[in-house]
Amino acid sequence: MEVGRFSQLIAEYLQPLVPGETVRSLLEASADPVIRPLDLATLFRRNQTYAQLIRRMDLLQSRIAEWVAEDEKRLDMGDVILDRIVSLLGKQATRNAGVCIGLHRLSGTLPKKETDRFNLNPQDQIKFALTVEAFCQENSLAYSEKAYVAGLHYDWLKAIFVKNKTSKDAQTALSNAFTEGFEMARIAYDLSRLVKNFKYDHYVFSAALLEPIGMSLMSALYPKDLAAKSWSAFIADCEKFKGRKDDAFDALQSQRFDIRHHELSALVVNYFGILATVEKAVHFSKEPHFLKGADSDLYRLAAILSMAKTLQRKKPMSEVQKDYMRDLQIAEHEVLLMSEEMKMKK
Amino acid sequence: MATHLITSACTRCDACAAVCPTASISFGATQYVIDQDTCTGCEICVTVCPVDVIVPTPRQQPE
Ligand code: SF4
Ligand code: SF4
Repeated sequence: MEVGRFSQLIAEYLQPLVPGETVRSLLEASADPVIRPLDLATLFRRNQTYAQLIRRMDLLQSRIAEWVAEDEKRLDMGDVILDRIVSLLGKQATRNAGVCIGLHRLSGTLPKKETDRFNLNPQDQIKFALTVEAFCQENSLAYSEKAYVAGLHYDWLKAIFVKNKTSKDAQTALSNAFTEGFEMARIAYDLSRLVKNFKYDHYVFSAALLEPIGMSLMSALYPKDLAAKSWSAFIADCEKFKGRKDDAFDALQSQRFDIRHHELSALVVNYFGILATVEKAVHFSKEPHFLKGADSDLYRLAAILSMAKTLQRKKPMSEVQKDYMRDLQIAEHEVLLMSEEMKMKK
Repeated sequence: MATHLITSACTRCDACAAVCPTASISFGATQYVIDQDTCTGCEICVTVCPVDVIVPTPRQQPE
């Protein structure tokens, strides 16, 4: 990748991806079952921006007015209100509110004046995170909190795209990457259940969800005005290979761009900084065998991503992937059954 | 980073928010506030506050 484009990648897209300390602590604390909602209030108190702005949520204004009216002279009313808000919202909604404040910070839309409008709207601001978390919870999939964090990578990148006025193509590519990642995540999760004594099973869903996210960055960094050198021209060229377009996509990417989308995905995870294990697995998801001697569980995680991608594309496993299946002690008929079931669901 | 915060004696004069180079100052529920994650401690805001209510953040005691 040329130096100028690499600098653009770092400055415009990757550095803003680093969540602040408050959001990071909030995500860690809210995933910890021992932590109570009131502990989150303590965390908010460490940063007065968060402690105050959570009190600007529209839906709480009449409640807050009642609480203030109860005892107007109380000097610690701010603290009392904060404690009552987190008790009322509970852990998940408090976490969501804090994360949305962090996103406002990223987008530069925190109120500068008392009269400025300010709203928290989790359903819109963190749509991707909430979608995967709800799916995991509704379907009794384990580790929904990790899926939520993985989904947040998409929400964060979306906010960066909007702020940077990145092309519509890149924004569409981000939505498409999420759809593809979501499908891969469900398949990877099912695959991981066939693997015995697997240490990283809690990372499978989030790793698969994040594998395609780099495609949106490819679209942002190689826009349409680069003509034949653009990401969209590359996709169009792959389409010409018809039944073998996925093979062309994998084989030609590094030749055309000097970097592959999943390597950018791994960089996204690296900068977000919460799912370090996922980063390595995504980075090696096209060549899991490189991890074989170094870390057998990481190898298995990367191999699951590789196989999930193939199943998501509705393709048969390659010979190398059959080796992965043997290493992971997954019987071929179980995978065949899975892929038949997927076809039937379609 | 947690370097500076605004006490409750803020008069909401609106002088500080515009000068912060990291856009760390916003209006909270009742007063101006500083984002502890992004404030770099440059103290430019301190120089414009007419009532000296922007102060260094007390160090956290180890729990
Ligand atoms: S000390 Fe500097 S960075 Fe911090 S709030 Fe004041 S002007 Fe902004
Ligand atoms: S300059 Fe001082 S008094 Fe004025 S809004 Fe800022 S902190 Fe408050």
